[in-house]
Amino acid sequence: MSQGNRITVDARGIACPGPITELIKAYRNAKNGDVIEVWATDPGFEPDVKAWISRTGNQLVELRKEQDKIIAVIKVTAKK
Amino acid sequence: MIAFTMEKLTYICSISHLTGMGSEKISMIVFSGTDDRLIPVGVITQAAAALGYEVNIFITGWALTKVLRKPAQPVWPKEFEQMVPALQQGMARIKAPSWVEMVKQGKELGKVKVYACSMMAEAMGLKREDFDPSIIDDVVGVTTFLEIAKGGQVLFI
Repeated sequence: MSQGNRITVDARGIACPGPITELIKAYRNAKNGDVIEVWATDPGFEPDVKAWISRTGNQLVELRKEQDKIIAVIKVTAKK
Repeated sequence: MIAFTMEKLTYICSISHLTGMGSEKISMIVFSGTDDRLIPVGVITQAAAALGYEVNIFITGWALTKVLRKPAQPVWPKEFEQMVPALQQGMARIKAPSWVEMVKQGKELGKVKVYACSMMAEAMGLKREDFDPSIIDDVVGVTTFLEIAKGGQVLFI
């Protein structure tokens, strides 16, 4: 499998459901093996990204909170 | 003094509740014409459309006045009137789009159809051409809506 692309989605400062919407837009253009990193500040993003992962079956590589943002790193594995 | 926090909105907003078991279709009967109730219509529509749900919105009652080419001025429920400025400031601070913008975003992202109720439209003297065509897809009777909504979740707002 070829090396995937790394895509950064900056959804800081936008409210729910903006961050998940931006993630899904990036996901639609992504392919298996790509890594999507999302930055968000909406507190709903943390449970929501987990819900999206369990819904879609992609891989949550990392989910961490920094001082000023939530960072989710997702490996795209469930594209058909 | 009323302290307004966005925490409650965040709970309502958390789409984890929408991603559990059940149908992949959500339909809304939107009756209330007050702006506070239209916010979740936009939020749920945008999120559900992005997630791949089929979304059907049946606009009836006072809500019909909000989907016209010349929509009614904002209306807020009397009991929360003094909290409205704080809410409006909060919505601006979090850069929340209007409910109509969220519905339009939903239409771009997925399967969203918005219908106006023919019975209430008739009662209010509203014609098909009075409705904003960028929001309203069709004017239909309730039988059509029930058939479209059949088997999915239905919210009355």
